[in-house]
Amino acid sequence: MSLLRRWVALWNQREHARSLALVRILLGLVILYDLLELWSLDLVVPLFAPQDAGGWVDILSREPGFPYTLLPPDAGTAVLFHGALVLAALAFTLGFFTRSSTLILLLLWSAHAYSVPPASRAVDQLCRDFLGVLVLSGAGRTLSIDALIRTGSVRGDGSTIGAWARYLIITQLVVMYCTAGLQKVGMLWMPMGHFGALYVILQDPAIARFDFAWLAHQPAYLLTQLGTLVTVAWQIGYPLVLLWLYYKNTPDRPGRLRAFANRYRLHWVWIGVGALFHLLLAATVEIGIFPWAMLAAYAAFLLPPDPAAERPDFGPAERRCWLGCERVGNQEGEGAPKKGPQSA
Amino acid sequence: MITSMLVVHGLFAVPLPQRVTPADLSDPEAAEEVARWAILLGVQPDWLGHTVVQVTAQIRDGSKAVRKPFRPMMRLFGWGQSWAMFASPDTWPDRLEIHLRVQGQWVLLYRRWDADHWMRGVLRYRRVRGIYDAANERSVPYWNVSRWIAKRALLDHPEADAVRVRAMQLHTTLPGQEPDPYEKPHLVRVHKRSSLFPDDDLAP
Repeated sequence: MSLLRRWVALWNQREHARSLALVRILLGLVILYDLLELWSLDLVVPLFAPQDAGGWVDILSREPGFPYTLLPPDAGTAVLFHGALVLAALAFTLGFFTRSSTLILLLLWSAHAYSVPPASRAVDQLCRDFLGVLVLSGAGRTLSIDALIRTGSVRGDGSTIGAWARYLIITQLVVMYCTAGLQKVGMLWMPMGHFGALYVILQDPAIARFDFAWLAHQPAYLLTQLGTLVTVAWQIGYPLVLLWLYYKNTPDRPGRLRAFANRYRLHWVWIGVGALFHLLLAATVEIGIFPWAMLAAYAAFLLPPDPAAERPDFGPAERRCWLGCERVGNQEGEGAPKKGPQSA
Repeated sequence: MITSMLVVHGLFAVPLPQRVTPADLSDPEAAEEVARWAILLGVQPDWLGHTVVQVTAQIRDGSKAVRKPFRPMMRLFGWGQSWAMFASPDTWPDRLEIHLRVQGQWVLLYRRWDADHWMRGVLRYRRVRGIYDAANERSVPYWNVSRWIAKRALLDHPEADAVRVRAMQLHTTLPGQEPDPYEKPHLVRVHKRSSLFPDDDLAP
């Protein structure tokens, strides 16, 4: 098969919607929590309203964006804006008019980022990137109100969706980690800087959750140095997770590296290090929802269930998708669906 | 369509350096970093700084031209691929401090880690931190945040007649290096009750 055909075949794979639905629900809960926390801290007007109405950023001195092009630039509009974001996030999480609510959430969030740039962080950008993928996906096909309305069951009817969305979320994670690692050009990330980066970050009062002055003593400092080394190496080497996933789903092919990777489940090592990394981040630094948004996206690594197991009358057999799901199906005229890998 | 989106996002994901200006190099952390690299490369810091400014300007101009057609779409959806997080850890961090003036004396109300119970949730919230952390003297949002903090402080403490919000610049050294007790206040904003509540009305 030519490279182009393989490329097209890859993105044409189909799979059960459950993994993507989990991404939708977990990410939605994180976004909702952030928006509600903002409201509970009485920061809606400061972060959404123009300066003259009590906002912190002089929104109107720049070319004003939505909603201030349509509605009065006052605190009431700010509250309305925030309320609309909350409703959109709630609908997105519950899977109610999923595509529309995802698009509305994305556009409103983007408008807010344009209005108040200092309050928009890397995690906001990342979540919008994920939302861009989820808009056109079938993330509402299961575990959603949409599924309940359409099929009478929250689980839906087991119909398949394009696997491309889950692949793109995984790709986004890979790009983010790898480029973040490549851009760690400060000498403190390197041997010449004694791998002192994590130690220095944990001395920053604006970022560290606690006073970590005690890390200056051994063996604590050595642990931070090891952590620095592992962080950079793991981030730059993160694209290898794609290779490990490919090996996992092509176990019948030869190769000692493939055998090694499958025997020791290297894809889970990479994913596990990431999960541990984010949990440690959450425990030691105050960077808001970033660790939790990342962990929500990790649901994309979960293998979707076999659609045939959900639907015994599943249609013709499909090719195996190499990034994580195996589908079997019954050919016309055959009996019960077969389990196990199919040849590509 | 997927391929084209991958290509477009890929253009923005390429880890190109940000444009560095001579003003950026005057920052103590940047100057420290340039000095470290100059020693490692065996060149003069001034030459290295000048070269970095020139090269990053050219890279920036080139990447800007390539990315320009896609910026409207990226802006509409708030997409981006800038992941330079902690690229160069800050060895000159700021610590937020808030003082009340009571009977002519400045009394500590908030200092990160030390006495950070007042408005803890707000001052630790990520979007608030994003405004006061890495602010500069010209930062309008920082001025507005400091006013907002001052108003809240004066409402909570009727005995105070002024609030001082400032950042204390510290210097972090590595274990094994000589500790630096350096502390320099900057981004100092003093807000008087008479200015924030001109009618002597405690309501915001």
